[in-house]
Amino acid sequence: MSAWFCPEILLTLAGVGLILVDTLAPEQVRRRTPLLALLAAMGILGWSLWPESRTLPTSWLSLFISDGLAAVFKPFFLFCLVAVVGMATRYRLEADEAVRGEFLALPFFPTAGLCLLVSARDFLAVFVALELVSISLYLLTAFHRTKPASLEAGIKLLVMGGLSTGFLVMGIAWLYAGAGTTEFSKLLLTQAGTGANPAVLMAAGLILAGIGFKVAAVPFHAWAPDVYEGSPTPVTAFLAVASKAAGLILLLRVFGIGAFALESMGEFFRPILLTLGIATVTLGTLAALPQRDFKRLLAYSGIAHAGFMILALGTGGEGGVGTVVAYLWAYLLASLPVLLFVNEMERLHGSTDLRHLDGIGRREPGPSLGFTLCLLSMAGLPPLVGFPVKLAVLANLWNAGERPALVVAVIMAVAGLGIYLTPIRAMYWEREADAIPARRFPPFLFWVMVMAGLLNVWLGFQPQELVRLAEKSLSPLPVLEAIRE
Amino acid sequence: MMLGEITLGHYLALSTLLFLVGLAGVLLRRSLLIVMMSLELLLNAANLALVAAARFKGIPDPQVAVFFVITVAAAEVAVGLAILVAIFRLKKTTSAEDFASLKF
Repeated sequence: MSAWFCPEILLTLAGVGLILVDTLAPEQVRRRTPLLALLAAMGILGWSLWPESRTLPTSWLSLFISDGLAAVFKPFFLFCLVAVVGMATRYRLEADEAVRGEFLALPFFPTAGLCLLVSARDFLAVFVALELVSISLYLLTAFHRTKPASLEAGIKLLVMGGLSTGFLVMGIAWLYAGAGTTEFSKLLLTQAGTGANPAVLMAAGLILAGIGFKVAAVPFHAWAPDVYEGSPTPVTAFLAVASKAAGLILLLRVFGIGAFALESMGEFFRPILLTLGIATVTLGTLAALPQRDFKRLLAYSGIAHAGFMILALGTGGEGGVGTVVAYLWAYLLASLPVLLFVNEMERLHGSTDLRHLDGIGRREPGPSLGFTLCLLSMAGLPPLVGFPVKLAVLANLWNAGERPALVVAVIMAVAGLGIYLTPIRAMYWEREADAIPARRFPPFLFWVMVMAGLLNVWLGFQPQELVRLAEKSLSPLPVLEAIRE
Repeated sequence: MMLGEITLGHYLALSTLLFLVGLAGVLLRRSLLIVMMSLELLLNAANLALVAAARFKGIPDPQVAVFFVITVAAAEVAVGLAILVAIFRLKKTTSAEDFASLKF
């Protein structure tokens, strides 16, 4: 009975409910839609922390699995949803103000898709969940209909997302042709003890390309900066954190612990993943340095972070997989507050250009301090949480003996400091611009940013909490272990 | 005299060819409507491979997958055309060359 109250079903019901409230309810109820949406998102987040929420309906079990990885990452996506809905209540839609209710209801659907995606155990389920995410995101990206950049971002994401779908479906077709199944554990069983089947290798390559678009890995990264810059900032936050994390978790599940995790495939794909990782880290870091728009800068910095995680995956083994899990949580804690700050900045100034940060450190010391701490955490400076996870990536590369990749990663980690120090320098050392808005940041931003900054510091001193999460996410690895023995 | 029998390999080769045509269309064409047609071609190339796999492997699963793909493609086109209409209202054009407001 309680299996029907899993987060995915609740999210869908909440989304549909909000749309109904927005269209049918009387005016005084409609005005409360932002509050309702926020409460619904928080309620589902709270429920997802409960172990009872993890049982899935029995009829789903051939396509979905409720394992450690799903248990660790469903709250991750719901946390993103709370932040995104919170940001969406603050985002200015201008001429589109009448459809704010839809803007608040729509993020529930891609979140449901993401929760399904992390528990998928069959490529068919992966496909359907990924499409639920993508199609809702096309709508959200293009939501600001009066702004040409938003529509442009929508169509770019649609074309790139469609391409990625094409690769994924083609990969699934080749899997059927080569192995006759798309279920992760059955795939492992059919490959066990034999060499790599060329059709399955082809399928894995196509699927890797499909996922590469989702995580914006080089050479499939070109859409990210344009789409991040053009879409409404709450949607940028969803793309930058939740959608990117989903791609990496999928990569982790497929190449790290399921489907293509066997040595016969690893031998072939480890160098490819490492090359992808090196290219992604290098391009992301170097292209982020000269950016003048904050959302564009975050897009390239997100590409660089994805590159670090791909490098960790490319080392193979459980260390790399655990590192990705810890890295994703650290990335969430550092980048969501940054995007929240950018959303408020956009509300005051009307754009996300870096020049709006000039001198803001003296005018708004509290939020700026939290913002600085989060940026330093993204840069990977000790004692913030970004440092231990980046160090773990480097340690994995060292242990795997991947010296060229290690050298590039170290250089790019150092060069990456420049990306995050530019805004910090502008905040504290730049003269204030002439046009200072009369309005100030709202008081809640002070508390949120300071709390987020302190959380980043605290976890930086207590990285074992992240290790615990990583261990929990990998606790049952039944099929792969059984085959290795 | 007998021509070689048609095998799964032939179907896969044909579907790969269609896939490449679709890919070229997405990457090279300027009109967004044709780009979206090319996206459909990508998915239908995969559908052909799926149906062929079902026939030659004797399993029904890929045929079910085809229905999923068709449904998803329809949803994607619905959203895509809605965005295109909104773009046309704003800019009076649907050519990709006129989208340059977002640049490095």
